[in-house]
Amino acid sequence: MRAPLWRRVALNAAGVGVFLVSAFPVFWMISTAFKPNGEIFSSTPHPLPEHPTLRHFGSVVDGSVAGVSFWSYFANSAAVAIATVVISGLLALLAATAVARFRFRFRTTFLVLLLVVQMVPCEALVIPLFIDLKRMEMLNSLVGLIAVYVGFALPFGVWMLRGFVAAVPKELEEAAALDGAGPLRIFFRVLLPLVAPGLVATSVFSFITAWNEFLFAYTFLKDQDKATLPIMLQFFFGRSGNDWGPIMAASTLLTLPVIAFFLLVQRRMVSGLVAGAVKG
Amino acid sequence: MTTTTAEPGTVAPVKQKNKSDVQGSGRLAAVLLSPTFLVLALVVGYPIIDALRESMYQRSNGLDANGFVVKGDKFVGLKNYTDILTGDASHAFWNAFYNTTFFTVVGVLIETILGVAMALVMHQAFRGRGFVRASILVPWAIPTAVSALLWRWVFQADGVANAMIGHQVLWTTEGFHAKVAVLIADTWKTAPFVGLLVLAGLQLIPAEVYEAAKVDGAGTWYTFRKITLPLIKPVLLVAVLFRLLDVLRFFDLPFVLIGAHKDSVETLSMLAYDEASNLRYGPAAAYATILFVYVAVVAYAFVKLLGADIIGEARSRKKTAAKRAKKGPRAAREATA
Repeated sequence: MRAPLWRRVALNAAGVGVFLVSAFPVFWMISTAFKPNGEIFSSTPHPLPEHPTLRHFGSVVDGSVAGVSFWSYFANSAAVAIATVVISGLLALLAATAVARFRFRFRTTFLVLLLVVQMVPCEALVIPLFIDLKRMEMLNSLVGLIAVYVGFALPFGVWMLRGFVAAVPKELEEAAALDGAGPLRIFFRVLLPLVAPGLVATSVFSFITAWNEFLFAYTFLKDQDKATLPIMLQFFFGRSGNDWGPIMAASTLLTLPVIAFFLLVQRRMVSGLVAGAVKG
Repeated sequence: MTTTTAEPGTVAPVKQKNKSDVQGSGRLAAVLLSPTFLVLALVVGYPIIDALRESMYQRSNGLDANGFVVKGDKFVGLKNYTDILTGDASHAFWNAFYNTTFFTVVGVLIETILGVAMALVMHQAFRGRGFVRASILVPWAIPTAVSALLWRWVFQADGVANAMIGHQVLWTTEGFHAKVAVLIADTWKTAPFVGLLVLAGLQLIPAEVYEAAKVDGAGTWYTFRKITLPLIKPVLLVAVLFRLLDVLRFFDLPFVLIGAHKDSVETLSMLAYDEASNLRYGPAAAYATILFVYVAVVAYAFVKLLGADIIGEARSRKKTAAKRAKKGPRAAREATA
């Protein structure tokens, strides 16, 4: 059955509109990254660079501005973001299963506690955490940073996944148990595939949080070879005015992995996973 | 941890299962929860207590009444708080309080409406859907520092914004237009967040429900109000709640887009940060505590007014699960009623 023509036209128009609004500033960012300096500051700017150059990307990647090579920042950022996604996803799924599947005392208290965590202003935690990490000699380490990011990603993850776990009918698990599947097998074979859309949504969230976070990274990581990408961005500001070419090149390089990550996982958010499993 | 003991009382309305199962599940639940609990206690719980203690102290490096040099922190009780609420700084505080509230109410309202609209569009089948879906999340994926810069470019005196409205507005100077600029940039950035979550919720609604509604002749608006909205309500409420909590702690966007010490856009978080960066940890912690209390009150009110079933729904899981399993026929009945 096909939708009426006006509907299809309206949908496509809405899609194009949404696309333009979301993508235009980003388009400008990428375009500027390829423009030579003369074109960036031209009073009659063109949407596309007339003489595209890779010079700005070159100066970002070889580290001539920031001091340390781009790849060092990139590796740190990737390690931090991936560890945050994996650890917080796993812990949140466990906790969400407990909250959605079992009745126990303080269950509601736990859920409220998670919300309270989400209410704490980050600025309030920077100083005490700095002192604590210093005491534990984890100040200049990515592990400390990962622990902090996991902590901030967890409340949202648990709350989000709770609904998805609850939506999986218990009958499915019981059927699997009747067929002789153990708890682990049920978890990986029944629960995990069915909550995958929720897991994808939360992992996109935690990845972006960890990838973009600036305040904690800036406060905790003092060595340049430990620093993450958002810190690198800072090197292009100030002193002799903003160097827009490299800023935009660095911003582009900072943004691309996030978009790549999203494109990679968004296919898993296909509809009907649950609907298909619960039919009848 | 005490969560190991299951309380039969809370179980009663839900189901009549045997007791040993309940107790066993309580223990298992504690095992499943403990890693999360541990991380949160270390990363958030302990530092909060530290900050609360800090808010009762002031750094004093001056001379005391007898002319002796006093070093280190001095206990001042609630003085930091009273200074903020009634002292010389109270003007800045109440102004920031108003700004924070304004951004929260207006911002979250616009973001929610746009986010739901975006999710509905993305949920439809049309060519290039995956592309639009990916592009819609680009704004959210971009680091705030970068997006604030992008918007600074849009809002500069001879920028795109002025060209489009045909007026000369100095967006990034003091005034109501600065608030508007911040709101536009924030909406651009975070409406996709609401959109993504609502989309995930939409994907859990079986297509049969809509087919049944269509067969029964329900219109688009009616279907949305009676089927879509109730079914995405749990996801939507969580999304809105988290947006509320986030925007109340609004910091980096106004900071980078407009700048510090601008009355029009100064938020409570910015005040706290400003104090901390001037090494006045006591007042900074006091600001943060006040902000925290404000956020807590708003969240409590939100959950009480709208989301009574945010937790309530979880409490009667069995009912919900049964409802979800039978969602098709029931929703169809609702649509025809």
